[in-house]
Formats: sequence, C-alpha cells, structure tokens
Amino acid sequence: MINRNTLISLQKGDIDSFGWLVNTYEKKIFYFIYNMTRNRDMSQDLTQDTFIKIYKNIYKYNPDYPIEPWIYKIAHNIVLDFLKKNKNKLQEVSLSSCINNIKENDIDSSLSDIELKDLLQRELQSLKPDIRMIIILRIQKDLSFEQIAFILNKSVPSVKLKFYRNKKILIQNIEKYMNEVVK
Amino acid sequence: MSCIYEKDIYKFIDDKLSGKRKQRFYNHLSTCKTCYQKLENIKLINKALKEGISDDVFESSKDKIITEVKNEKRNYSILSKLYRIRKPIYSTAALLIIFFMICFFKPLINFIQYKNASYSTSNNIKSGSSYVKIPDIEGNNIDIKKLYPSFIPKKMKLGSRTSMGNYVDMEFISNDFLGFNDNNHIDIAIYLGKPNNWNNLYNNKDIKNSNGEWLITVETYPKSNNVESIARISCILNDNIYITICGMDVSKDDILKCLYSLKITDKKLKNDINPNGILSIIGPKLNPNHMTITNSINVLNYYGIKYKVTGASPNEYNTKKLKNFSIDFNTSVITLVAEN
Repeated sequence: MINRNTLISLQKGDIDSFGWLVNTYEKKIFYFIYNMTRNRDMSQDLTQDTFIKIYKNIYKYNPDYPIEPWIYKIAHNIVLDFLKKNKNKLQEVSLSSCINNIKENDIDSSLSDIELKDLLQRELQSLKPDIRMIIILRIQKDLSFEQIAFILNKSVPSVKLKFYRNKKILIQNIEKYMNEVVK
Repeated sequence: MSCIYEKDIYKFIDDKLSGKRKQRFYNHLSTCKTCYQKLENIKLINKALKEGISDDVFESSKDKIITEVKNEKRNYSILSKLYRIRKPIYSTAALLIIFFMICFFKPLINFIQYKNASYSTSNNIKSGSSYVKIPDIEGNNIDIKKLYPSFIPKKMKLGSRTSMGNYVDMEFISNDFLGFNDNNHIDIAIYLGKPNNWNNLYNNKDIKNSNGEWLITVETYPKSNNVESIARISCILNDNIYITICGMDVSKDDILKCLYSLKITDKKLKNDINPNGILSIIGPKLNPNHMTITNSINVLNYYGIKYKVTGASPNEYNTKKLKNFSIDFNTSVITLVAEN
C-alpha cells in the first residue's frame, strides 16, 4: 500500500516514488491487460504505455483519493483504444489458441483446472470489452462497484446490472459445456 | 428436469439470499443432488474465474518505463498546483472575457457603425430604434421619436452632455445626440436643444415649429486646429429651417475651415447678398451669393454667418422647410437639403 506522502511526492513527479508505483502495480496492470488481449507482447507494450501515461498525467491525480482506480482507468482507456484499433487481429489470436487447447484435451472425461481456465478465457474473450472489464475488475481485481463505475465512466447500478447478468450467462455457458464433457 | 431451487444457486453464490431463504436452501442442498452438483460446478467456475490466467508470462519492464519518464522535463510541482486551481482560473478567465466584451466590444461596434454611417433622415425610424426618450430639465421624458420621427436616424444614440457652459441664452436642456465628450477625438457633435429665450437672441423673432421649440445643433471641430475650435450650425427642424454658423473664441480661419465642410445642396440658394467684413476674409472660398455675415448674433464673441434660403419669407432670418440632412462621418461633410 502506498502511503500519502509517497502519493504527494509522486504527484510532484518524483521518480523514486514513481518507481515504487511501478513496482506495486505493474504486475496487476499487466495481467489486467493480458486478460483483455491474451497477447503477451502487446500486453507488455500496453503496460509500459499505461505507466508512461500515468507519469505524464500524474499532476492531475488527487492524492486524497485512492490511486488504484485511477491507474485502472488509464489502463482501461489504453486497452480500449488498442482493442478498437486491433479488433480482428486479436480475435484470431485468442480464439484459435483457446480452441486448440480444448481440442487436445477432449479425450478426458472431465475438465482439468487448466482446461477450465482456457474455456473461461474463451468465454471471456467472446464478451464485449467493457463487460469483460467489469468481470475482470470485480472478480479478479476485487474492486468495488463504485471504483469500477469510476474507471468505466458509468453509473454504479448499470455496472452492477451488467456484472450480475453477464456473470450468470458466463457461468451457465461454461457449466453447459462441462455437463456435455461429463456426459 | 430443473429444480425449483435452481435460481437460488446464483443468489447464494452472490450472497444475496436472506437468512430464512438461505437456511431453506441449505436444507434443500442436503436432499437434492442436482443442485448440489450445480453449486459445486459454479464454485469451481468462480474459483477459476477469480484466479484468472495462470500463465506465468509477466516480465517487468520497470527499467524501460523509468528511463522513458526520466526524459520528461515538465515541472510537475507547478503543473499539479495549476491543475488544482484550474476551475477558479477558468471561471475568472470566462468572467474577464465577458467583462471585456461588455466594455470594449459593444462600444467598438457602435463606433464602427457611426463611422460608416451616413445618416439620412429620409429613412424612417423603425420600431427597433435604439433611442427614444431623453429627460428635460424638469425631469420629464421627452419623446424625441414622436417629435421628430423622420429626423432621428435609426442608429443614432444619445450621449450625455449636461453642462452647456456659456449657452445660457439658449438654455440647452437636452444632451448630446451623438458624439464624444473628448474633444481630442471629436469631429462632429449633434445636440438637440430647447431654446428658452429665442426672442432675445434672435431679435425678438418668434421662431417655432409645430411640435415645440426645438433646435438641432451640429458642431464641427476642425481637425487641423486646436481643439477649442468649434463651428456650429443650428437649425429648427421639421417646419422651419434656420441656420447659423458660428464659432466661439476661435479664429475666423477656423470658422472658414468648418464652413468648407458644410454644403447646402439646394441649388436655388442665391440672391440677398449682404456681405460685411467677415465675408471679405472668407473671400472666394465660399460662394458669397449664398450667405450673409452678420454680427447680429454676437453673443460672447460669436461670429455668425447667415445663409439665405430662396423662397423663404423676406425677413431677416429666412426660413425654409428642412427636407432632410445627412452626415458623412468619413469626410465630415454635413448635407442639409431644403425643400423647394
């Protein structure tokens, strides 16, 4: 957890404090982006872009508020921009890799942990980017609905509604697939 | 076949079941294998979802990022302070812009309009006229528009000129029609005045128009001379025209220079020549056929030049109906058009 003094010196562009910030959040941001893109190199580049943008705009940050949602907001904008520009390219990469994995392991009677995660990733990739982000931020990053709403620039009820509705659909789809495999 | 408690499974997972319903759902789970299996599956999925991607693909690029941001030369300390007070700055800037627009933009527009305008009374006033009323000395509103509807140019606006100095005899009670109080810039000023004691000034000549006793005065300030130089044309509007051109405490040359800028367009002005000493100074520059120089209005060192208007009654002060007048602000030429 970064303390307030660090945040204040960070806001003034202090490099050491920024190094601290990178240490603390780089991995989280990388996996957040990787979950969205499913491409390691791209995620690494986008993570770098995110932190450079954070530094360039750090004077806009208000240290009275937690920094994590603010960081995710910048990452979200960068990823969304990227996804818009590379829509087709990304879909090809992610789906093909997931489907191959599943086919190779089809002979087993039940889904292994890795298979389940691959399947989940496939389902996640099929969701719209903003829905995917809500689910990732809520379930994996443990952010509150208020924080997610801030990141996505949406209202809290709308985020809640989208989260519960799509999570249910996601689970139902996977469960359906699991039942088929068991049969 | 699906179980009736199936929909409760999702609520249970999301911790949305109330105490009683939760207890009932627990009881149901111990008897229903389908629901139990389903719950287990969902828990598994939830767990997988929470864990996310297990690929160990992360590789820190902190050094790259730090190298990149070290090149930033901006002063974040100042930027951050400025950013925090941006709202008051924006508000102040907006207020200042509005203030400057109010202070400078409207007068500038008016100035340009006046500069370009050639006022002609042949245009009737429209309802959107910017000027209608001025207060008289008793504080009553005088409706100029009603008195002289055809002589108030559409774009004319009232200025203010409360002190009229030496004009006690005339007792101007109204203020500037148009013009500027700063003599350094003034070219032409127009007043509308109510002569209180005309009879004394004009040898007991009763001069009136049908709407009251109003006098319009046009003053010109020669550009080439000192700012005190004034030449003045006064005329009664609407019914009679009476024109005097005079200068107060100025050289005769100054008056003449002013006179050069004045034109009477009525071609029939001739006859009744009565030149005196001043006329000889005016010499060939003005057509002597059109004027009489007189000391009869010698009040406080006035010099007067009287224009004779053909077709008017043959008294000392010839009268004629004024058809219209116009002022060209670029050339400072005032054009008075009399009726035949």
